[in-house]
Amino acid sequence: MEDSNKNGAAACDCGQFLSVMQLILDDEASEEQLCFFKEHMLDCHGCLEYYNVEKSVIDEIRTKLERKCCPESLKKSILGKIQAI
Amino acid sequence: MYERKELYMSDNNKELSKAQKDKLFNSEFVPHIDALYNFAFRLSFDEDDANDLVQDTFLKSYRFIESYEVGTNAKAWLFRILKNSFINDYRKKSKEPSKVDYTEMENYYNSEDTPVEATTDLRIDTVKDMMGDEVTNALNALAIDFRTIIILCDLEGFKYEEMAKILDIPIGTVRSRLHRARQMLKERLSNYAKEMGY
Repeated sequence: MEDSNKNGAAACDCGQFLSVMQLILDDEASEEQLCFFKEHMLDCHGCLEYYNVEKSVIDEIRTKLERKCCPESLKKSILGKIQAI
Repeated sequence: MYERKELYMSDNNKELSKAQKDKLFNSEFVPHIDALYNFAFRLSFDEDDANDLVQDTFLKSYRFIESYEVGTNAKAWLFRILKNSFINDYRKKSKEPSKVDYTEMENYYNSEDTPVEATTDLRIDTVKDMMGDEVTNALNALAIDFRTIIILCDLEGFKYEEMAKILDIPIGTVRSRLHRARQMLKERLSNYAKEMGY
């Protein structure tokens, strides 16, 4: 994601980076994709920044979203119904 | 740990005793009850509906327990049952508009040649300053199919293949829907940050 996309190769790499980034974020990337990703992050500050924002959004969802727990009364009710079957 | 060998043998016979069923139910299904409840609540936004959905899911899982393959992904199996119950029994009743028509959009995103673009100017510090309520509101504002994929992936940690099975969609659609959902979530967070003067 170089600011000026100075040359075609850089622009191409940034496009590929963005395609691979989702796989990295979701832990679905191959070794090859992971290597490309790491190499490109060393070279391109823009892509590194973008990746960090994407990752932080996912981290916020994981850490800040309240998890609703099943009420104990519902658990007991379900288990009671199962016992009665 | 229950006796898997015993259960596999019974599974082949398709005849589990009540005791075997209960053992399997308690060891493989019950541990996921909180995750199921959270999923049900985030789909329905209603505690009564969430209660009914979770109860229906567990009763169905018990009724069809012999079709569950021991040792496979019980959590994904239960999520699939709950999602189907929600679509078939609860979504019809809800006032929520029918799901967005994004077939065309998904076709666009499914293309291997589709350029992937960075679409928001959200900054990492801004994201970290967000409160839980802001993140929750942004997620809740998404259309249900986008909300669902974020919950399954980012909150529950399902893999693409598992989500494809839960949602009955191809893996390519999982990826494109997830990508689109995250973009929309970021846009909402970005707009919210601007409103709040972050």
